[in-house]
Amino acid sequence: MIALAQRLQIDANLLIIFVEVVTLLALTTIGYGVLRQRLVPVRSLENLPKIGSRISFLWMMTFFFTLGLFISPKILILYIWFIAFLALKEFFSMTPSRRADRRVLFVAYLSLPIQFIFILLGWQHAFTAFVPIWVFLVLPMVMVIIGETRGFLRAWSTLGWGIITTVYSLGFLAYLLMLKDAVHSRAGSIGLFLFLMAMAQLSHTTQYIFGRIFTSPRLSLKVSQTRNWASLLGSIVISALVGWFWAPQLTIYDGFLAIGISVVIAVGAFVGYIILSAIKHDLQIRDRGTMTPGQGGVLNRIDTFVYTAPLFYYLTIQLFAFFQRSTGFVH
Amino acid sequence: MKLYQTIFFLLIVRPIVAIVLGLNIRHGERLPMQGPAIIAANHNSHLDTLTLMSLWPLSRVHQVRPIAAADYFLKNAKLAWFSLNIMHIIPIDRERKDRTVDPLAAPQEALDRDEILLLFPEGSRGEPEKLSEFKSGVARLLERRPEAPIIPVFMHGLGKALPRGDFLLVPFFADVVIGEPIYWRGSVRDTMQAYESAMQVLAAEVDRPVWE
Repeated sequence: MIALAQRLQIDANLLIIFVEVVTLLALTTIGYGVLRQRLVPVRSLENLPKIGSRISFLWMMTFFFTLGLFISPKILILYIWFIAFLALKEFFSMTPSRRADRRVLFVAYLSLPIQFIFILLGWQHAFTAFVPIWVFLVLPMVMVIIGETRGFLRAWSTLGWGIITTVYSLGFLAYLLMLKDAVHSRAGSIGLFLFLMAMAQLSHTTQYIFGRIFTSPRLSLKVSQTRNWASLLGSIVISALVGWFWAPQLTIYDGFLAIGISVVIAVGAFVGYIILSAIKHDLQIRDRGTMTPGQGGVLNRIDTFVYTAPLFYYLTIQLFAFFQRSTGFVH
Repeated sequence: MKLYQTIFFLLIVRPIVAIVLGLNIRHGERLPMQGPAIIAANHNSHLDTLTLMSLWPLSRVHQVRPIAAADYFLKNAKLAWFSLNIMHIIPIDRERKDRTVDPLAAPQEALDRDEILLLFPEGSRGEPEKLSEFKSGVARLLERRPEAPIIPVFMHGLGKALPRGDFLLVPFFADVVIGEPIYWRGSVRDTMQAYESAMQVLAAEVDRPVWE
C-alpha cells in the first residue's frame, strides 16, 4: 500500500484511510443488501429506501472523490457545485413561494456559479463574504424592486434559509479542498475533506443504529423516532474513538483536539438531521417512495454537512491561526 | 425528419428535463408504450409537451403525436416547420371557420395508425398551476374509437418553471402522475366525469406547496 501511494504520489495514510472508508461503505452496502432481501428477520423496514438512496449517493461521492484524489480536487468541487444546485432546486420546489418572486428565484440560482467560481479561484475572503454580504443585499433589493410587499419577510426568510443551507454550507465543504495543503493538514486538503465526509457519515449511521437499538430516552422531539439521547451519545462515543484514530493521520488535530473535533462533527451531523426533519414536518412533506433515481431527496443526503462543513472549516482555520500565533508552530 | 426529432430530444430536451427541471414520476409503469392511446394531461406550460414526450424511449418518441392549435403553432413558417417536423404535431383548427371539415378526423386517423395522441383537454395553458374546465373533445374521440383508452396524466411544477407569457426558465422539480386507463363509458358526459375524477385523485397524490 505504501509503495503504491509513493508511486501515485499520494500520502500513504490518506490512501490507507480511503481504503478503510471504502471498505466500511462496501460492508454497509452488503448489510443493506441482506436487509433488502430479507435474509434476516427485522422489526420494520420502512426507512430502507431512504437508506438505499443514501448509500448510492455515498458511492457517487466516493467515485468523484477518487477522481479528485487521482486527477484534480477541482473535479470534486464541480461535483459539489452540482449537488448544491440539486439541493437548492429541491428546496425551492418544496417550499411555498410567491408567484411574483419567480425572477427573484432565478437571481438566487445565479448565486451558485458566483460562489463556486470564487471557490475554484481560491478567493477565500470573497467566498466567505459573498452570501452574507452580497446575496443578502441584492436579493431582497430585487424583491422590493419587483414590488410585492405582502408576505415579503416570510418569502425572504425562506429564500435566505435555502441559500444558506445549500450554497453557503456546501461551499465550505468544497473550500476544504482549496486550503493550502502543507499548512492545514498532514495529508493535504483532500485529507481534510475525507475526514469530514467519513466522520459525518459515520455519525449519521451510528445515530441511526443507536436510535434503533435504544428506543428511549426520547429527546423531546416531534421530528424523528430514531433520534434520541441514546443515538446522540452513542454517535459521540463512536466518533470520538474513530476520530481519535483517524484525525492525527489526516488533519492537524491530534490527542484531545482530535476527540474534540470528532464530537463537534457528531453533534453537527445530529443537529443538521433534526433541523431538516423539522423543516420537512413543517412543510408536511410526505416520504416520496417513487423518486426517479438520481433525482430528489438530495436535501436528505446533505443534511449531515449543513452544519458540520462550516464548523469544521471554521475551527480548522482558527486552530491553525492560533497555533501560528502562540507557538510559531507549523506542520 | 425522425432523425431531427431524435437529435433534438437527445441533446436538448432530455438534458433540460433531467438536469434543469428534474422529474418525480409516479406510476411510470402505466405509461403505454404502444398505441392506440390518448394521453390527456393538464396544461400549464410550453414545457408540458416536451416533458411528456421525453418520458418515452427515443425510439418511440415519433409515435407520440401532440395535438396542437393550428392558429398558434402554424402562425409563422419557422414555428410551423418546428411544430410539424420536430414535434410531429397534429394541427387542430380551434376557430373552425369551415364547418364542413371534421376536426377529429386527423386524430382519429392517427389512432387508426396505432399512434399515441397527446392532448390537453383544458384547451390552453390558462392560468399556471390552476386546473380550468376540461373540454369534451377527448371523450368525443373515444366515442369514435372506443378501443383506445384515455390515460389521465396530472403534472405539477412546470407552470412555475415556465408559465404562460414568460420566457425565463426557472428550475423547479416537476411531478408527473400517470393514471389508470379510462375506456369509453357509454356517453360523453360519463366519460368526461370519469376523467375529471381520475384527475382529482392524481392531483391529490402530489405535494403542492403554496404558490400565490
